[in-house]
Amino acid sequence: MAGGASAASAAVGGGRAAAGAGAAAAAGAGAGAAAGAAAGVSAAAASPGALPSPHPLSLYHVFGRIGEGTYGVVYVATTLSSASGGSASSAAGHPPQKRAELLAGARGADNGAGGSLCALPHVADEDGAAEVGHPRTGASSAGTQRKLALKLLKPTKEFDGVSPTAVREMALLRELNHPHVLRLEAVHVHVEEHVLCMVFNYAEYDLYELIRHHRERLAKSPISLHTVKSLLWQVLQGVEYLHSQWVIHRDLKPSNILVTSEIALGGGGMVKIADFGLARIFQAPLRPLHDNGVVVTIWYRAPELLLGARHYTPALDVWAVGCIFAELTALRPLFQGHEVRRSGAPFQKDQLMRICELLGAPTEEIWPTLGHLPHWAANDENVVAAASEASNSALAEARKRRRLNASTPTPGEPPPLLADAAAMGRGSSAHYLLSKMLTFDPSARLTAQGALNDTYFSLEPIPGRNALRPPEGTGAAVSYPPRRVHTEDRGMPQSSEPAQQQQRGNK
Amino acid sequence: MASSFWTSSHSRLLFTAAEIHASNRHDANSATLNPVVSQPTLRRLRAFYASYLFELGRLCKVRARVVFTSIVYLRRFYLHRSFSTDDPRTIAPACLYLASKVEECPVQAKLVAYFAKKISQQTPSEVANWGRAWNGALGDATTNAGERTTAAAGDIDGVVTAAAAAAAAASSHANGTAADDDAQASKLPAPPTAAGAAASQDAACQVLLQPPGVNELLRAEMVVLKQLEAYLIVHHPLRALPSYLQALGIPPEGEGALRVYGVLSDSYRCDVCLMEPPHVLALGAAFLACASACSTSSSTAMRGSPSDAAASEVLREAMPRFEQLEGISVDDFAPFARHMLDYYEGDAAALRTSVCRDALANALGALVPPPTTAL
Ligand SMILES: Nc1ncnc2c1ncn2[C@@H]1O[C@H](COP(=O)(O)OP(=O)(O)O)[C@@H](O)[C@H]1O
Repeated sequence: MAGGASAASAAVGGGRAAAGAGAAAAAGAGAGAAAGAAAGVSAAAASPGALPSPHPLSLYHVFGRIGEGTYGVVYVATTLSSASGGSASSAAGHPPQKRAELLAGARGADNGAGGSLCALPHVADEDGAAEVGHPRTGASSAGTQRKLALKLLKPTKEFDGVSPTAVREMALLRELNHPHVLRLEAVHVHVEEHVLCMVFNYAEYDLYELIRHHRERLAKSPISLHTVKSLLWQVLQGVEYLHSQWVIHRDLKPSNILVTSEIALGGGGMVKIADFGLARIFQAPLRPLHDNGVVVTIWYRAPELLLGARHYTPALDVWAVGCIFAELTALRPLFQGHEVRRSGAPFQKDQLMRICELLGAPTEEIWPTLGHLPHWAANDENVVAAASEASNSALAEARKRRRLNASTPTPGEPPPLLADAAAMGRGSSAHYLLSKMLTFDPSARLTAQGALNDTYFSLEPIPGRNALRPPEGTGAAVSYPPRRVHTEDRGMPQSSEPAQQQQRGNK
Repeated sequence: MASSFWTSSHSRLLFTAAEIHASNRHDANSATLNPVVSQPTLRRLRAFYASYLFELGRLCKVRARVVFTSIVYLRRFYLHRSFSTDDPRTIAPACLYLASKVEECPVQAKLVAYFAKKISQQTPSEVANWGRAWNGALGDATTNAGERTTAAAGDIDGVVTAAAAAAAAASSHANGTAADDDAQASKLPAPPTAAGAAASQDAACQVLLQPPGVNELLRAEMVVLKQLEAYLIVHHPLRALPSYLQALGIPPEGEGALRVYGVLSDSYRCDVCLMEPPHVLALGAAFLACASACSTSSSTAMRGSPSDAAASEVLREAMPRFEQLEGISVDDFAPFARHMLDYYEGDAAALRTSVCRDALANALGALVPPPTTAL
């Protein structure tokens, strides 16, 4: 019954008040938060056992809002108690068990408040073990408390029940377990309020913010080679894992590539691929995969998709990673096309033209199935001629500016304009790798595995496990700003604790 | 997919017979108060709602794998929950509703509710016919108790012998379902539509098929999601089946394949789909179909059509190839075969009878009190 916006706001502030009162959802949502952080902690810890079950957010100490996605709001939080008391931590600390026993255990809690808790997917991996009592956590009160990101589903009536996107994201994340894939820690379902909450480990940075920091705050000083290479290496590791599990991410872009802070439990400076809302298992598609009207940013979209291919392959993730690679080196998006905003998946011609400017026009010689792609076959908006035109005028322009001599580009060499746009040396190993990841023909494009085997990664500097910490004696680490936490709105109580933690994260 | 099954949550969500026996705990505990509620009745109720999902899936025009997934959800759900607390008449359609999202062909809640209502208007004979694709001609089997005991004793030869009993069942699959993954459940044979459906609907069906409203359905989706802890990806051997069939020399498009597919579908109508990994379900189904064909060679031409005979021949010839399969021995699907035979002879046969449905309706009525408000 509690669908609609009221549930959403009750979720934030009111849930904790409700837990404190041991009553049903609080009526005065925003005002309820005035109970304050400390009250929230103790009251909620005492509440399990009360009926009805507590709101998911009442199981955590919520500091504020950090993001608003397409179908969810993301909060930063910690668990309320580190020991066995709260049901929240019972999820975090589950010993490895057979799933059947886990389920059986959850059953016991069904009639009580703890029933809203879902056990951990991967309870015994290295991450989990290492996190408790990590020496670098520092914080005394929060010594064993992990920072978490809570993704709360917007409960709107527009959706037919639980959003299919959320269902798929949860379902897929439950199957995934890799150091470079953001791990789903728990799922909370609050039946009465129609609230769904996914719990993740917190990641302080993402590539979008990292790149922006260099571009806008550090006067475009480049990200260090070691960091770029380590980030790319880790992203590729994650993508290679996904593909080995028959999962295509389909929405890789800088803001979905999270990076843990230097002090993160389980490893600092580590890439965590996030946002599986559009991800698909590609071996058993029931229908030809299509976007269902979901808007995906077009800048990272592979040319086969731009030309209307209906069958998705893992190659499109590699294309996106290539675009991200170039953005890390150049500090701006490689192909910044103007998006046609219209329903019905319109042909994004401008995006394709941007690609042709740097890579040349595709031909059936280099891309044998090109003629089968709908927009090319139909020559929509005169795309065939326009592609050549875009490519030729870009070359002419470069010659005019004396950045190219008459004979370039040389066939067989990677496109020179690509190197320039990506701020890479022409003919460098980075340039070669990038051009192989941005091969037009998806079946000829480098795979994630192939990219990992590229010589680029065997040359100095060797990629590291902590992408943000430079190798010994190569200078100081750049300090990046922590994620902005919005505490002022939606009745979020101000708390000094997260600020302190973030400062430490900055050192 | 087979490559990732062993790292999947599904591989950790296989259960023993004892674990499954502990399903519907509250209901089972209440058996002392309600003598009409017994363990076999609870098992049959689960089987009934599994078959119901085949029918609902057929009406909603979803693919077979959506139905399979929804049945696995339903069975996992009642491992820990009970009919008395969670009404299967709402939970079952909610499982299909959720499965349709996971399997990427969402069906609107109001459509699911609409077809649940349609089903509730089916006649008892239509309901009895849900099982047509699986055990329509099981008649002879039930009398074959001696051979059954042999099978239960544990040797695979016994299974082969006992499979004779199921031969007739297999032949009824021939005009059953299509064998490929893309097959729509809607291709399942439609039950004969009797005139005056609503009029002749009996009390038992009315109780068992009382449809949920849209809001109940939406709420139940959350309840199921919560109980399943968002472990929603279920592996089925539908994609792999053609390659298994090929390895056995059974043409994937032929009638023999349809019989195998029929047994595979039936494995979702009973508990065995929660016990065995997908490849065992597929190969076990093939084995049972072949064993049936073999053991009826003497008394063939039972139902006599030439295509039936040809299919039986294909399956008989496939039998020796089981020994040559790599990485799996015949013993690996013996438990599957025994379980299926038990099911065919026991619950499947019973569920076709109105006596059984009356008993189920009584039990459900005792567990779930009728709503106080009129519709
Ligand atoms: N684990 C996390 N740690 C820190 N911030 C996160 C985390 N997960 C998500 N966020 C933030 O929330 C934003 C939205 O999350 P995302 O999963 O991308 O949602 P959506 O799919 O709705 O866009 C992200 O861009 C990021 O800023």
